[in-house]
Amino acid sequence: MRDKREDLYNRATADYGDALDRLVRAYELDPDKRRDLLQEIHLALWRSFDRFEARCSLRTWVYRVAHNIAISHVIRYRRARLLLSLEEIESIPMRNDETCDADNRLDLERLLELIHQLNPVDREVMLLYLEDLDATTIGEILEMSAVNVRSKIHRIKELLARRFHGGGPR
Amino acid sequence: MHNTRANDPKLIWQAQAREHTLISVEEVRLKAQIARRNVCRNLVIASVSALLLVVFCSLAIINFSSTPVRMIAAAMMLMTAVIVGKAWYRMWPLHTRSPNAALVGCIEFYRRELLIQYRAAAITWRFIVPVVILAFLMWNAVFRTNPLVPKILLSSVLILLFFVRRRNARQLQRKLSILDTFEEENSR
Repeated sequence: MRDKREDLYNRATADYGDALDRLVRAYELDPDKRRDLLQEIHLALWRSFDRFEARCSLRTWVYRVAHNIAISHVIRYRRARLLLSLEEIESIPMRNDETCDADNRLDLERLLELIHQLNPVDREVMLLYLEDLDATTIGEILEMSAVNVRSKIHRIKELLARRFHGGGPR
Repeated sequence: MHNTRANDPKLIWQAQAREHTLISVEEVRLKAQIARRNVCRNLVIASVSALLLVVFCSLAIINFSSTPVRMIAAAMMLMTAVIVGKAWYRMWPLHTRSPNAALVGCIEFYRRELLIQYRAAAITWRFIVPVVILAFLMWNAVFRTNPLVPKILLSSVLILLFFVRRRNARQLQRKLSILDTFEEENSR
């Protein structure tokens, strides 16, 4: 059992370690808590591999567990901050410096700022989209219909296009 | 719209430099052992309290000739055995995370986790209270002290237990109400 678990854990960290590192940035701003969250995700993965029966892919399993822990973390350390849906965030006008002074701002910082404003469900979809996962896989991980995911991805693309290329309706 | 390497959000996201070094298997294994030790500790405390309770009940059966007292003691022994057995069955397997990641499943999972943590502590209190009461009743038969000593000592322990348990219940209520608010806000 230990060998199987260790083998799965090693594969998961080798293949998705970088993605998990990025994921925690999207859920926690404080570097110390971020480290704790990452450790918690790794611990949960280690424990969860006892029950992994290959009914879904290793990638789906890793992302499911990671997002599960990340959302629990958001709930536990919930701050008095309003989280928005994709529809709500689309209606917020961009600041001037985002439209004409884009070169002077760090793109990653802007992207993270945008992600941190989103509510957990939309944030999960956006993160998985940014990890280049297709709608079917995202739906499988988040237990949502592929149609629902596609509609969210469509909005995400529009939102990102406006924020990063200055295109689309304002 | 044409995505270049400089402005494609996917590429910007995936090109992030790694912030944390890889967490080693040993580190994770150690943490898993610590988590398991905590569960074990709670179960051991509950089991020791239950054992004490069984001993007290056995003493009551031996020392008292009254049939109702014996029946009550026997019923308590049976209940204790059932509760401890159920606790080991429920809590001994490591409590692993639910693979369901949808928000509703996740909130439900967290709520369940809070309740399990509370129950693990509550079962200890459930055994300690009767143990303290029985110890109070049997003190003078076992120890030769001033009769005031057990009265003061054991009633203080009961009061302490009452407040600690009440504090735990309040903490759980607070966490659950935060969870409810979170769920409500995100279901809008």
